[in-house]
Amino acid sequence: MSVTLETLKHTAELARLDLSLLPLEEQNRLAEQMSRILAFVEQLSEVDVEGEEPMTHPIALPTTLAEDVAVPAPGAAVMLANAPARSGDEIVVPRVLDGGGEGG
Amino acid sequence: MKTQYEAVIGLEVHAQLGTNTKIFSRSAVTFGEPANSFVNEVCAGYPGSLPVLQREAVTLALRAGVAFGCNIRRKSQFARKNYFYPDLPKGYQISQFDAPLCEGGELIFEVAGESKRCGITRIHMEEDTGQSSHASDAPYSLIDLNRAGTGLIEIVSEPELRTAEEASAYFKELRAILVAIGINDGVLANGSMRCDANVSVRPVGREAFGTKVEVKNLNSFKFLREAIGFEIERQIAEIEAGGTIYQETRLWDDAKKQTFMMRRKEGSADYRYFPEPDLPPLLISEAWLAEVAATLPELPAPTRARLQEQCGLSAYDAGVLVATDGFAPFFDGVAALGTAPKAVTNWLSGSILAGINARALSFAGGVGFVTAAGHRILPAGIAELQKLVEDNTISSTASRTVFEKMLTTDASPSAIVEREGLRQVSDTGAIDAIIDEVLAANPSEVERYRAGQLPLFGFLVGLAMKASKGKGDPKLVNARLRAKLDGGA
Repeated sequence: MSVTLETLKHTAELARLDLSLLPLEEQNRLAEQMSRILAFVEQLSEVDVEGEEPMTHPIALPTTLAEDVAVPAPGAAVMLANAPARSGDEIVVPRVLDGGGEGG
Repeated sequence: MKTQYEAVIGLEVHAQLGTNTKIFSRSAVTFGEPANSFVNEVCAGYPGSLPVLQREAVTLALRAGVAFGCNIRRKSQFARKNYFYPDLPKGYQISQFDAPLCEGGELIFEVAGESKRCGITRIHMEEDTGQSSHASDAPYSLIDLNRAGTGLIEIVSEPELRTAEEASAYFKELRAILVAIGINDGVLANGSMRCDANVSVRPVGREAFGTKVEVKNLNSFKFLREAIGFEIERQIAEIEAGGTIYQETRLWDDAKKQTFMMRRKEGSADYRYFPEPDLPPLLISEAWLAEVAATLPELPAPTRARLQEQCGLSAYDAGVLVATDGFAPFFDGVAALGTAPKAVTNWLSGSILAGINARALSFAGGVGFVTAAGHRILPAGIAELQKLVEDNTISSTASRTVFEKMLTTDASPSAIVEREGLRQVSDTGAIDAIIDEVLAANPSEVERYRAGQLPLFGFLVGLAMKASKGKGDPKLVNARLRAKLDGGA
């Protein structure tokens, strides 16, 4: 599969990366490198997996489940020690739209 | 001829799982605590931290799956849903995608006295986000991660609802079921259950769906009904005027009573779901599933039917009992002790409901209600109290006084009656003496009554009851007073 400049731009946007300042030549080089990575992974399609159930995890682990017992939390002072900006015990971020995230 | 339209509505309900800890970390689930006080490295998305699923969350999700008659996937998988938002610390939400825990159920509900069915597409498990807040004109937002990582199930309906009333009735019944099976407290105002609606319209008879609009955060039955009603009218008007419906996300403005656009979806959202590599597949054993099915509490619809058929309650009374948290189990508890069903419903819809509304009583899970003073009012207490009325130990007026005392002390109804001296006076001699005093003190009222002013009887009964300090047996007071006034005794 060949990665076009358009795919490169879309992928960068999803990762919140701004490629607009990058010279076109550099953008082409990135797209070419991504194409080569995909081609490398594409070799896996040569393996015949007909009738095999897709594996979502590399090791066949039994389901390990924790009990529903709380462990004391470290507290806001510890958890927010690395926050770039704070207001009281809340983290300050650039203003976002009311109404919650994109997910559901 | 004017085109007739119909609406196509599907609901997505997120319900928090009522567990002690978050779904993938052992940080406690709380509400209303100081910001970021119940957050650990997993729910804050610290690099290197790993999620561990907990058993109780799965059990509760299975209960929902069984309650809605879903097929339960014996091997399900978690997936990463990738998007950026400040309340999502990891940059992805752990959810389920192509292998959800439950699929293909149904919900039967009533609307305007008719039974309706709506299919349930799927129920999957996922984690909740944190919460962002915005000071009115500040150029920044504030993030509290206490909620981040709380376990949720998302219940997705088929697009089989056709009116705002149907959508509202579906959501109400769904809430009642989740409360009855003990997985959610049902408090919409606290966000423990949240609803999004997908709404489109199409000419009647057309098979293809119109463009759907998502209305988010409809967190009360009233908002849900009004917002969907508005959205249906808005889309029909737009189409009639030759306009286009865009696929977009809208919110409800309750002050203006209209929906407004939050963002337009350009192309389908690209969440790049992929299997969560930090969690192995979730395997459900037959034994686990059988245990969940065997211990599932009675669901609201069978409870309503049983209360009507076996206990002789009206459809209305049965509906109220099932719709109010804690009422149905309490009813069963008191009725099992031999109290007449009608007397139990009178206590529930009278003094107990008043106590709950006045915040003197609350439902806190289990059987019974907790008083503000911290002790429980159990079915046995109400059964004992009602028995005191029925064997004429106290009047029904006094029984309400006893109930008031039960709200503040931990004493039994009988002990309260003795302590407060509320025992009913049923001795004819004592009642006669009281009535004679009242009649002697009010000669003009007696004369006017005998001259034909019959309503004065009630006034004289009141005086006699008052003179007995509320302890006179009202039936006896009535009978003796009537005998003395009319019989000339």
